[in-house]
Amino acid sequence: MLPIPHEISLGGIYLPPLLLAAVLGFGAATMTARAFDHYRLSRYFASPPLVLIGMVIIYTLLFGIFFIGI
Amino acid sequence: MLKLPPLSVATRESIKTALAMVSVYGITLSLDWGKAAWAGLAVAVVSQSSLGMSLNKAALRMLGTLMAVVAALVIVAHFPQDRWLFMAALSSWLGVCTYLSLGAKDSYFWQIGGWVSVIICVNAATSHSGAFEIAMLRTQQTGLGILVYSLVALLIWPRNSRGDLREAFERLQSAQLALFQECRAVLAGAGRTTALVNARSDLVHAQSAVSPLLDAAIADSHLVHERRREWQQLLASSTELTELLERLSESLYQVDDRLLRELLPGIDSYCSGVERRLQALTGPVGEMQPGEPQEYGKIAVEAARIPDSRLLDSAVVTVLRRLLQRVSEQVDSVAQAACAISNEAKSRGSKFPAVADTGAASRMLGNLMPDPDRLGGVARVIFTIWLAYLGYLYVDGLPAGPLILSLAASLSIALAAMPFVAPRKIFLPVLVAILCSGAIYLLVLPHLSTFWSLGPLIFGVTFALCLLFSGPRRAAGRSIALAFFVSVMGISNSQVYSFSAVANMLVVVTLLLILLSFAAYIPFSPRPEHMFQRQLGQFMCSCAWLLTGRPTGWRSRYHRNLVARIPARLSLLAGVIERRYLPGDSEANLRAVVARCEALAARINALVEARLHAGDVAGKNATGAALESWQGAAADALERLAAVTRKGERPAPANSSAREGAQLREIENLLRQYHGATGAPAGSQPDGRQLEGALLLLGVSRSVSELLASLTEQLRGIDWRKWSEPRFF
Repeated sequence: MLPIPHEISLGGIYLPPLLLAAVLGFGAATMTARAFDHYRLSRYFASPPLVLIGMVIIYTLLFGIFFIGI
Repeated sequence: MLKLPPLSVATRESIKTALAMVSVYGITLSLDWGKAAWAGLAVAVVSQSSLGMSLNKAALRMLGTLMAVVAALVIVAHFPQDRWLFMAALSSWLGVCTYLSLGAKDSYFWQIGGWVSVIICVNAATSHSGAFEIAMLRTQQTGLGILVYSLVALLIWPRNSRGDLREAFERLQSAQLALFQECRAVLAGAGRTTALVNARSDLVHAQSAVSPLLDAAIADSHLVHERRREWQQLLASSTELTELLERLSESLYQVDDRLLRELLPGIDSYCSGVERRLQALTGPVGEMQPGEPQEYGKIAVEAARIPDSRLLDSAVVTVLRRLLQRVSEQVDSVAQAACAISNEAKSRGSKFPAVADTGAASRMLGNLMPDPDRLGGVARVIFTIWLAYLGYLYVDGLPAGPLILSLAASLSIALAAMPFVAPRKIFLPVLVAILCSGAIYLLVLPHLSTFWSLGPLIFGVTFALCLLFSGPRRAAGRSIALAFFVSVMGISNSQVYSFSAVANMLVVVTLLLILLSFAAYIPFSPRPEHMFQRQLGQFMCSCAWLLTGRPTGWRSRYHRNLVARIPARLSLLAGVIERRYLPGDSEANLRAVVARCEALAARINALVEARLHAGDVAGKNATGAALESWQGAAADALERLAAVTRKGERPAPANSSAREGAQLREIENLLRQYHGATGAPAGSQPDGRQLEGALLLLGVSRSVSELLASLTEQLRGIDWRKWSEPRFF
């Protein structure tokens, strides 16, 4: 990925790469949180809402840096 | 001749709303007033299922808008150049409106007063027009929408609420009769059946339906308006009767049947008389004939049969006797009010005095009392609006920043009333509304050139949305759909079409819902089960304070206000707690906990009143000290319960009730000694009134003690550990 500002075209609509990374990060964090709930692992967190925000940020950065390029 | 099938109520109401919507757009566009969406919004919101309800909501919207105009102009005039003071003043005003909207009967008025002032201020700050022009335009467009809808609703298929009001009163009186009959069955030894619980629940539902219908009928029916004092008197008497019947139904399980019959041998005939009079009430309201004044009568007490060894049980019978007499008096009061509405009474020109609303002052005071839950709602709204404001100021390229501020104010105030609704749950309906409106805006609207082609489109979409979301349960969905329809379309005389307008709206709503989801945790968790635990703990702490604290003073008022309000919140929250937290019989336990809290609130209130009136008896002798000791023990038990439920632990068995029971026995002995003391100076002997007051105090104390034990048992049936377990969703 070139280290220059770029946009992503979806059907002719140009989207900022951070938006796409954030959407993917939000989706991945939601799925992880649901898995934690399912296996009762959420009880080990003091404040799940803050953990969710943290996971959204981490996933967004991971997707952005390694797959999309922000 | 072609005969059309009769139209349903939903179809008629949808046609009326659609017609009003087309008319306001027609007027606004032809006069080139601008901001036609504001008039469309007014039509969308004030259209209700009956004319009276629409008129009442329209009045609240108009008055709220006028108040908001004044507030917004004052804020803009005082802080035109200082954005931080301007925002501090605006958010403080929003906080005041939020706080008052969460407690007042006319909460919509305060909601409008809050968010319309934000809309005016934001529009004034970001457009070329002055604040005064914006404020006047908002008032004008709101007034236009209200006027047009009111005219349409008055002229086309007017639907008044008089018939609904009569039916609601008939249902209420039937429910009151049914509950009284169930109470009689329990008194006759039939046991505490589920039928009693169901009858009580039916009565609560029937009672809650009457008040809004009466307000609507006063507005839309001149017959009801003419006799409004009588109708209001009937409502006040019926409400009082409902409360008494609820208290009666909760008092029954403490009574010893045999002792009851021994002490009150005439109770069956007395109850038959009350039931007969209640049956006479169940006919159509307004067709009752005024009969002879009813004798209240009294239930004769066989004083000689009061067993010395069972003074405590006799005290409970005293409480029941007083309650039955008050029910009887209230039945007569309802009958008199119902007769006054009938035609015969009207022809005789009998006029009811204006209803003396003795509770108005205390309601107003209670509304202004500090309330942690409502203050939490204020903190949430202020946090949301500040976060949106800071985002608008400091995030470069944030699309439609002013729109975010306006939407943040309106949505956060609306959600403050129901914090348990997760903002993510409204994302899908809003997304669908924006996408559908966006499709019409981008694909259909550019092909329309005149109002004759635009009008049918507005009519068709409005009609379809109203029909799709007809009925009171879907009213919120209809408002959301119509609000986004008029906002996305943005119809004006110089129409522009832009894909970015729809895309920006989508981004704004997504960002806003994320913001609201984040703010929902300020300052408390919004999860219904956590809210229930917190409210229950607060309720118990306030009950504990009232048991031991001074019955007068502002702290007493503060706790009494909380004790009066929290049971209704618990009832609301119990209905939205997810089923996964209520396995097995837990759901029944939860309902029982709510019912016990309602009963406990009534008993604590009665206890405070009894302490105020019987203080002279209790304070003069050892009874006072023993009573204080019992109150301290009961308060400790309540505080322990509050602590364990907040921590998510299972309460210990109610073995402490044995200790409290022993303390009550001690009070009973002291009271008996005091009553039967020989050789005491004549002046120190209690008279009959004082003794009855002391017996009442003793009876209420015992019922509090038993309710506490019962509440503990019900709380033990719920898995509090699971409720407190942290979860993501």
